[in-house]
Amino acid sequence: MKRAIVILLLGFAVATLAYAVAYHGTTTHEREALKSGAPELCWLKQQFHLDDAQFQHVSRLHEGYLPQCGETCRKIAEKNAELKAVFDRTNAVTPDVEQKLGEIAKLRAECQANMLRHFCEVSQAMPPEEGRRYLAWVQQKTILSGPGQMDMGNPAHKMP
Amino acid sequence: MNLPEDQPLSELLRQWNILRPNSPRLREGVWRRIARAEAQTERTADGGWKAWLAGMFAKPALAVGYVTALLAVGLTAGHFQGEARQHRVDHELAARYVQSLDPYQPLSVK
Repeated sequence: MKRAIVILLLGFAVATLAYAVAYHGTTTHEREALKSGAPELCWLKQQFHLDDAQFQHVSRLHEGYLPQCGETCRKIAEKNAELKAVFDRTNAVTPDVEQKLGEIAKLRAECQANMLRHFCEVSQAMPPEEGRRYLAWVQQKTILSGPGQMDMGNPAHKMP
Repeated sequence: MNLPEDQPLSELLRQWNILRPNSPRLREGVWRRIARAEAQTERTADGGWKAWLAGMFAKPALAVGYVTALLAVGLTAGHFQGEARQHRVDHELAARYVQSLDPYQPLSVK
């Protein structure tokens, strides 16, 4: 009987150990990414098979882009506040309101142009095939994901 | 009790030899019978499941099969759970990356 209990417990111990080893093995990338300071960039490195030099280059481009993007966002928020103030005064689409809308549209177009420029730079820092894949994916997730576009922001969209 | 000696019978018994040699598996057979007898004793004392368990793992092939099956179950479960988690985290990190670049991206994007 004692032998049977030992075998029974050995089975459970083996199963637990096997589970831990398999789980640990399949989540290695994830743990590496989450441990780093910028998990989303680590994810990019793994997903698009970047070597260390390419990853450094992409990281620099990313860090350079963020303040510029933040500045454009700040300007858009400022213009939105101005638009609200003008519209609240009249509750009508006056020439002033139209002008503000035009300014906001121009800033948004500028923001999207900067974004596309950044995507191109990042894709060029990648190996050619991965760069093409990145560009197609990131466009699909950003400028092509709005209403009226082909994927309509479909959450089921998968990585190419 | 003293019986009168039967001379022919005594003579016959003296000449009697066991001709069949011991079977080479005699020892194994004896131990198997002892184990079966012990299992039988446990069955009557503690109920059937213990005896069943003891009987089950008495055969090395079954014990090895049991441990191997649990090893496979553990590996498979760990692999699929890990993959599911990896997939979920990949999805979240992709969304975070896109959100960090695109201010128009809804926060709940997947």
